[in-house]
Amino acid sequence: MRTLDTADVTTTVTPTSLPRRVRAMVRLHLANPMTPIYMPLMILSFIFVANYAIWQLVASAGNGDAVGNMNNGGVGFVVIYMMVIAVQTMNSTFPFAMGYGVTRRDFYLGSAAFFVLLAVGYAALLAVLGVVERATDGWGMGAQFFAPLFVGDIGGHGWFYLHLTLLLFFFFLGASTAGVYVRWRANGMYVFFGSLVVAVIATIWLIIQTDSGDAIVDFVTDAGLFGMLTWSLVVSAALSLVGYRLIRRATPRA
Amino acid sequence: MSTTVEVSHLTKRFRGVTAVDDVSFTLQEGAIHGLLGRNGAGKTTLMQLLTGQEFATSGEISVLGSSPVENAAVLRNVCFIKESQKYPEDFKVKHVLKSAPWFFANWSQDFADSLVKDFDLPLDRKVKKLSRGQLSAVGVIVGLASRAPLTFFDEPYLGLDAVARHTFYDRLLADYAEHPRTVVLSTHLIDEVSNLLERVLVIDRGRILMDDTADALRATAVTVVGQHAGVEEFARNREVLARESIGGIASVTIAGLTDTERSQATAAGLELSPVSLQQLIVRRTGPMDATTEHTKENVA
Amino acid sequence: MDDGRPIFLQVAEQIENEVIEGSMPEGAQVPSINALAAFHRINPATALKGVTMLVDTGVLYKQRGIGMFVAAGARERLMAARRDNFRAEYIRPLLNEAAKLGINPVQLSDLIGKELQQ
Repeated sequence: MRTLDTADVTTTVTPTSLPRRVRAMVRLHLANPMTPIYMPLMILSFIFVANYAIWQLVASAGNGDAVGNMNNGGVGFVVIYMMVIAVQTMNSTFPFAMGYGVTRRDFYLGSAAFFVLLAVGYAALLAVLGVVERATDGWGMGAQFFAPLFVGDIGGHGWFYLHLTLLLFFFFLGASTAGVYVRWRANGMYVFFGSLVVAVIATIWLIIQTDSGDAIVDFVTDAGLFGMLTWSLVVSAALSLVGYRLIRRATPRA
Repeated sequence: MSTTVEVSHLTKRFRGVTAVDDVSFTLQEGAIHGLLGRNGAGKTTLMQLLTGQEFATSGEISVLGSSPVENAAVLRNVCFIKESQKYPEDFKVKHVLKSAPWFFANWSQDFADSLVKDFDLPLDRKVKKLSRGQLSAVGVIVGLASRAPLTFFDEPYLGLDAVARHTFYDRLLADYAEHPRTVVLSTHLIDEVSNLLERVLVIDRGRILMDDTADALRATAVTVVGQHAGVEEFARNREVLARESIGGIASVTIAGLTDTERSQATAAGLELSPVSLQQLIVRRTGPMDATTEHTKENVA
Repeated sequence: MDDGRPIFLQVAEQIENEVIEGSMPEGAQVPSINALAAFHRINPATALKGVTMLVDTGVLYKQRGIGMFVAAGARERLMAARRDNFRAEYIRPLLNEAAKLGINPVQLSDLIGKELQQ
């Protein structure tokens, strides 16, 4: 071995605990805050301001009521954007994290924690804005952007729960779907979507055959908004497990 | 000599293609290893197996004492810079350098900063907007500054021009001297790195062809040049790796000559010229055709 | 660094040359392994091998924690060894080449004489 003036060989580094590793992974997702935070906030503000300007124009043109059916761009946009983030995470951040020596398990745990963090943050923001919107009677114009009127009066906690569950659902939906691609690439996607189409058709056929259309409608109305949202949480949890199973055997192929 | 990596009968098959074929070797702790071979020989796959990024079809891998697959304690010591490394969408160079220390305990920010200057890397540019050379430079900088006890470089300097490559070799040697660690360099630019290497592993079509010290390998072949008749006489019954002729002169590359045999050659008026590592490997892994006597049996 | 012989030998030879020429006198400190490696652009292990060989042949000696130094009498020993090889390494090839060119021994002596007078 070496003698004389050469230094000792670098010994192994001390292992870190799971919480620290997950934290490092979350930090990695937030290393470039532009993508998960600044950009969506900027776009959201822009959309809102643009809509506000249009509402003002319409209102001043005479028909103050015509504003009533303005879009619900708030929730819709954020939800889709977050789904895209989830897909990008699986596609680009996954192979990068592997290059940094992160295990698949730590990657997924860290990413899931990141999704939850974002979901909570955005849900809180949207809830607050929704409450303000209702309190100001639609920004003084009867407009609806953050708090669609058809949802009724569910209060701040209600809005938070609604946005949270929706965001979580789309996060894990995006992650699982992207997981199929990362695991099985293009062929996997064809099989996946093909199966999806078959499954949807089969379900519809089944519903018609068993004439359970009414039963389903009853189920939904009985559950109500919050029941359905809670069911979506169950689905999100299931999807998160699916994503985990998919990534465990995925490889960062170029 | 202690080992950081031990591989035993490792095989990896992808839908009918055997990328790594019953491979066994060890990596010496604290040495710079060259993993040499042609494109598609299996270098990248092998390194992906060693870092747990790919799953083996069969065989055993032990990195720092245990299997690297899904093993956070082992992988924290490993840095693997791939030639085709993907980066998160919209990451800028500064984000890469900012996040690396969270994963590599030995990261040196000072070293990283000086390397950024050496390679003239624009910190504020998005990674996807970098030129090929700059992209390679990012990988090289992370690999060097990580000072990971086990560092792999998978042809990360292909996009670099000759000047930048030599900057990489110089920085690697200098930092390695101060902070010795196990390094594995895969490349097909063999002659450029041959002086850096302590041990050489040659892989061809998924199998290990050579596994020895660089010096020992260089000594395994000699080129004998001279008049046709004399050369052929000398080459008879010896293992011939390559054969060329022009006019009345023949040049034959022969494997393994002892010192006495060398003196015999010079006494017979033949000239001996050394075979560089690159020539040796090219001869041994080149295509098989009529002009070379390179057959499967010659392969060790 | 030519491809000829093992690099560690070339490193050793370069140091030997410096000792013989006098640029590294007895007791002088030899550059560190890392400095040699950086200078020749080679792996430190190779540089170490070359230096270790010189320690083994008595050309250098090691002072723990300080470095490597030229041993006493190293120059004389190297000169003696080189003188032994002189005939095989220089005289024989000279004679071979002369024979090839058809220069007989008398003409050869003549040439040597002329060259010495320069």
